[in-house]
Amino acid sequence: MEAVIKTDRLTKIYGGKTVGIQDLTMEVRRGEIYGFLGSNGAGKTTTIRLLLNLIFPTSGSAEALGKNVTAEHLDICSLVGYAPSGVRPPRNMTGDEFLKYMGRYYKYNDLKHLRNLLDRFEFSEKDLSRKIKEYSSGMARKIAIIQAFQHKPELVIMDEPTEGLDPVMQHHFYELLTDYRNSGGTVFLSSHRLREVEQVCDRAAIIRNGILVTVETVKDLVERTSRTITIHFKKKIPRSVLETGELEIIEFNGERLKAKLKGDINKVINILSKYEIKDLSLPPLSLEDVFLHYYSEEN
Amino acid sequence: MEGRVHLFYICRKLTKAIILLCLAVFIFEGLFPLLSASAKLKMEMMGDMQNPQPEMLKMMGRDFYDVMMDYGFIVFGYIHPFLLVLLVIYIFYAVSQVLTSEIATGSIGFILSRPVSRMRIYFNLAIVIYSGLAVMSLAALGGTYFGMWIFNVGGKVPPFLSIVINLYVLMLFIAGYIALFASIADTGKSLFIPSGIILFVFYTIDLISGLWEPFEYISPINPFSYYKPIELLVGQRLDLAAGLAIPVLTALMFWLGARIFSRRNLPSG
Repeated sequence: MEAVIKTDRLTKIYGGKTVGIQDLTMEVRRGEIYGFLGSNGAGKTTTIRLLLNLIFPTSGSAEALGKNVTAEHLDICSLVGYAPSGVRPPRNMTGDEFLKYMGRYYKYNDLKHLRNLLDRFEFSEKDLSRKIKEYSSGMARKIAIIQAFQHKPELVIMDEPTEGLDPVMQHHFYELLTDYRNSGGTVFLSSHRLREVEQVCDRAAIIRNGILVTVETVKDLVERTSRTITIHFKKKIPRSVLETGELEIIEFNGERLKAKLKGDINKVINILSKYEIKDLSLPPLSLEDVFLHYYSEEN
Repeated sequence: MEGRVHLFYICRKLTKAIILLCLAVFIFEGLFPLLSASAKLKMEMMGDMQNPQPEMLKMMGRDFYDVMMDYGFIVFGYIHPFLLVLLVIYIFYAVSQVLTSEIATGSIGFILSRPVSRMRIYFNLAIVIYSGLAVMSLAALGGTYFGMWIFNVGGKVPPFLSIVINLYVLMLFIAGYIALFASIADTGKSLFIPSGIILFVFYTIDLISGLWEPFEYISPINPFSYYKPIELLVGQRLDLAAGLAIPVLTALMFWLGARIFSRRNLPSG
């Protein structure tokens, strides 16, 4: 499948010593929603700013839509939408003025499409006539998202787009992403909201301390990760019966067990069936487990 | 096309400030013909000018007193630093609105995600500064002539047009210098503090250069020493080499600023 974003050993080192990202090699395919996961300072924003030519790489290269992000930046911009993180649009403009201004940069301007976006995010005429400095952070975020989609770009790059959005708006946003993907668009979405990535992304990459740790489909990522099982026994049981290789014991006091499920769940059930159980919890697999797995010290 | 969209945006952003500053300049320059028309002030001034204190004479120069005696208060508006201050305020305001505040808040990211180059943004900054300064210089000239007409000031008309052109060229140089600082600044503070202090020091040195000889050696590198309203009023011709050097240096500073701005990393805001 065609790569819409392609980086090759992309490195950004600030001031000669602070690593932003290092040797980042990745591909984002056309028509997918690509989640870029990482904790604060992991290098998510640095990667996005490199892709948008707001900062320059120390070494390595990056391409978006088949063009070099540094040398052919202007060609790329016509086809890309961008919603930055934590940045308000120009404060002294009204919402309407801002959208018109951002739209003027493109020859293509579909007002019906814009109206549709405004309706999705429940933006009224009154909201549009207000100055952006009067907007709440959620409103400012919504208008930043709308401007990223207003010119029907081929690729949308978003940095933590749902920060400040209420759950209803988040839901509308996820719908928009899905519709956009279904119509052939590609999304590069940085986030530290695991549920969001789990819910909407096709593939996810995890970045830690500027280094790409893994890239997989969200389903594979989740399935490959061990789950935590918690069991309360009615009576104390010996520790030795649990040390079978199927479980990695985290806590055990004879009656309560907390362990990582590493092997076949049937074998574990077979062992446990010999003892009386008061309570058992095996939460569904989540990306949070994956994230914690990659971010834990030993990994 | 995309560059024009940005230019239109920054013009809109600066319009109010330009109008207000033009009004201030117009009123300021328009008031000097009124002072000039006052017979009482004229008499008082004649007394002061005929017997200047030696320190003042050294600082201001003999020509200053001659000019004031010749033309009266009407020329003082072009010698007084207030006009320079208003124009410098405009330059700082324009640079901060177009570049620095956009960089500091991170909203330049929105603009740069559109198909407009950094070079073009910087070029647009130069356009609004040049045209804004031209409008303000014309407002100064307009204020003076309007004042002369309304207060019925007659007599010998000073070469205001030459002075305004000289002032405009100097301001372009200062604009190039401030814009050069803006190309590397991340915030208003990092723009204003170094460039403002250096400008202030140069201006003070220019003002008191007559008092201490070593200051005169700094004159060739002091932009303010190239603003010569008094010399123009006494009929001297300005140095052609300096007259050519200033626009060349200005263009160089803008070119360098544009290069730096195009290649710098922008903060996330």
